[in-house]
Amino acid sequence: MKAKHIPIFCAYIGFLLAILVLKEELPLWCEGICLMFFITIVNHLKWKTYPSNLFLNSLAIALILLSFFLPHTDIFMLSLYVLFILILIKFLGPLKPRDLWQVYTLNLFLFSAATFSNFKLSFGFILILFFWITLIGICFLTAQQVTEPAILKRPLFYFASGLSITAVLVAMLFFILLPRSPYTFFLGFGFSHKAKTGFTEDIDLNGIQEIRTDSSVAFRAIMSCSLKSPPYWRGMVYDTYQNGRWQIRLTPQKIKPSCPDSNIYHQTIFLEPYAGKTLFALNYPLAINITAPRVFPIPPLSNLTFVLNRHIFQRIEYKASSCPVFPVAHLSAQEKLLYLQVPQNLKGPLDKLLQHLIDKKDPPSVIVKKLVNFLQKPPFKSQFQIPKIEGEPVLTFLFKTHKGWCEHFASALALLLRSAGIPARFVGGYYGGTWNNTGNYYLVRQKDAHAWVEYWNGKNWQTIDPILPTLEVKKTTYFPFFWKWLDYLRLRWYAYVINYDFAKQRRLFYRLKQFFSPSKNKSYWQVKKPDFEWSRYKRYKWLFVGVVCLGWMGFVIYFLFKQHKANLFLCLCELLKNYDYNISPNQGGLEIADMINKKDPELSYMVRRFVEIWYPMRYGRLIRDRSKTKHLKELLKQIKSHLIKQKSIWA
Amino acid sequence: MRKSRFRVKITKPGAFFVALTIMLGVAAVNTGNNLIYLIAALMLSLMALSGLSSFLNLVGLDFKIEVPEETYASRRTLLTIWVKNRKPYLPSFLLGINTPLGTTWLPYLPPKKTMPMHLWVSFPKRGWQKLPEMMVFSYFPLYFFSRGFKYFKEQAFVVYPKPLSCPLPSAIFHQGQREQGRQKGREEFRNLREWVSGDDLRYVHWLATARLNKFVIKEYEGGGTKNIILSIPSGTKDIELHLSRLTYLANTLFKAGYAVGLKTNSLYLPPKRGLQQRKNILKTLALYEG
Repeated sequence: MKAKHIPIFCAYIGFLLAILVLKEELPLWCEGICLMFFITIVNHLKWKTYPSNLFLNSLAIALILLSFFLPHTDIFMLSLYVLFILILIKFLGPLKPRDLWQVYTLNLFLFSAATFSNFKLSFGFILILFFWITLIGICFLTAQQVTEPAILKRPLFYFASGLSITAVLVAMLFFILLPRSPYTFFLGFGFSHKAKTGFTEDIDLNGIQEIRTDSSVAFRAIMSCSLKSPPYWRGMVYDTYQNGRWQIRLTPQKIKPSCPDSNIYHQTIFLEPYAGKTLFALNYPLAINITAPRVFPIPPLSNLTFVLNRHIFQRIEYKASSCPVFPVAHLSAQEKLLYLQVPQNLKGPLDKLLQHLIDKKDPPSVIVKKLVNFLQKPPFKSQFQIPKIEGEPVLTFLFKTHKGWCEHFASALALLLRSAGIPARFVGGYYGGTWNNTGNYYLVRQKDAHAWVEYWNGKNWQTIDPILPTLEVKKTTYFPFFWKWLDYLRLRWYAYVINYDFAKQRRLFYRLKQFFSPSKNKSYWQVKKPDFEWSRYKRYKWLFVGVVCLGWMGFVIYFLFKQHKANLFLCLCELLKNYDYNISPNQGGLEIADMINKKDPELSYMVRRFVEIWYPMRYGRLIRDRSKTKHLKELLKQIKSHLIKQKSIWA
Repeated sequence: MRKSRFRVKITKPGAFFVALTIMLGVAAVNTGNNLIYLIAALMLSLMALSGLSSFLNLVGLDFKIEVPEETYASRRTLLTIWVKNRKPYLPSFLLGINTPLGTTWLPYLPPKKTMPMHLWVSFPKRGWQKLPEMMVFSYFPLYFFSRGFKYFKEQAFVVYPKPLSCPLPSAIFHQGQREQGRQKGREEFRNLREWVSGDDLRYVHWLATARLNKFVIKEYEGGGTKNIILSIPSGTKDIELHLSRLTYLANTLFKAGYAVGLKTNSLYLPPKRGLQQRKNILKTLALYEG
């Protein structure tokens, strides 16, 4: 690539990266149109045919006006469309230095817009890549405005790369030190974070839950060690069932739970944004304290749920403590009434079914056991893909299809228990998760969503799960070490970058002060290192060292070889040396040809032909192009075959 | 040699970049969005590093200015500025030298290397002249700021008068035409005459000198004794015009092989050939003050 084309190329790459970070926001047609415009790069590099400015300006105005009439366009999308239109119009016109500056700026605006919707670790990587590419573009643009940048191509590229690496390191310092405020002014200019899919405040049994097929992250829970059995992560507790939907009607009282068991599990949870207000924690949670974006405690409710007073549109971090047994043995009369409610249309069929299954005089534990046995045996079967059910979903599940997922099983059990006179409720949350031993945390995905039942056994609430979800069979994943580290990086990205706030900044400064003050207690400064089992990977140590050495050698050889290959005359000298010709480094091409002439006139003629093309191309005014280089390479091949032939004759 | 302090000027893209950084910083504080903080931090670090690298780009440079041996007033002259990079590892990029007479660029100067920069200059007046004050500057690396310093070297040199062509005196012209076909060493003897200062000792007639007890010189028809004395007439109105013409004549006559002398009110340079004589005459013309 010519040096003068580098700024244009960088502008296009920057735009491509901007599309990449806004991929989830843009409709498919918009992405398609943007990608189609990449063909204009050929126009800038080769054809150089541009429409008039009047036409371009009119087109821009028309398109911006048109974008106001697009359906489902909020202010965020509208600003995105305007930015995209402006860049695309710039690509249609000639890209002079001033235009290139504008394109770089517009790309930066696109990245700034993406910060409102893309919080992934990949955004960080792409931002750094964008920064590097744009910096190279700007450096070359600066050189182009002053001189012909071709002579600077390599040093300027190395400089720009070095500068971008240093800038990223310095930016970390700025990121930590920049002043932060615990408050938001002017409602964040009207932009808000977009919520992801997840649990909702009511569950519709008729609809296929998309959540079951969604492998995006729900939350990450850091714990001191993994649990022996897959954990239940408690979320919402639904009390009312009506028309195939579980809803929350009860306004529970605030309580002060205390754990009768000495084992309390402490967790730090990083919850992804979702449409609900409820926080998730290991079953049974005692207390939750939000630590980011602001520090405040959440009071527990009597059904042991923790609910915020606003929707969670932002990634939040909180500390939770959980007890292995239900910490509050309490059931008020009002609650009992609610947890025994069965819709009128279900009462008759459920009572009839119960007559066959249980004896109403049985104690609650026996009734529960019988009902769970009933649901766990054929013809009941756990299946996600079921045809759309007409009518009451629980009745259809119990008497017709016998197929469903955890929500059907849990709903059926809860309603059967209520019909049998046992207070029961439907609990929604997550089950299991993947333990990451690199960072000591559970990674819980949306597809781990689960529902189970809690019943009142007369003394306390007990958890009963009519169907344990088949935990995902461990697939043979390649490079598990890499994926674990990547996820660990993700966790730290959320903890240190996305959730970095005023409180953390203050804490950090305090710790720094402690560290640099001449106090005795230096152990206060603790940076948690990942618990990495080095001993497990010890046997790969030599393999790793070997790969690194081989890689380095390959790198060195490649560069030596490449440099050598670039100079075809050196290749010729090397070739002749290999066939016992004494070539000194000071000898010129024609001298070599004269020297060979005595021994092999034919070879001398070929060398002379080679040299006569090479010298003007290397040192003269003959322009180096692909056809001449190809011709020289052909000549080299001919010389080589001639030398082989001669050698075989002499042998 | 004198170097001023660094001066930093902000360019239009630079001003826009600073405004954009402030805007993003305010947006970051307002929204509490850490990713905007990240972008603002990147831009701030870029600004800081841009300043630092432009400073490093300009430190450790030495300059040596070469003035051509002959410089004429109002004529373009090529100054050669040798720039030495004393830095052991860091190269210098896009160095610019700006003088009131022009601007020149050096795109790349590797570490520990010396490279020339050429600058076309023109001096309007004859006489002793000083080197112009130079502004060494660079937009490197990002065209956001122009950083530079003034460089001044106390180096004086003589600028000769602007040569102005004029017709040669007819006698010289005809003589020149006659002598065109004649071969060297075959000049015809004309007569003997008394020696005057500036005459070549090769043409001394030793026998006659011994007989008359004073130096006697042989005169030839050809180039042997082509002596011309240029004179600056006193009381001339347009002295500059005369000096310019005399400069032209001196150059032309020296080229034609004449021994040229110069006579002014206060100075007499006897006719001689050679580079030194030419320099003396041109210098006298350059410094003539009437």
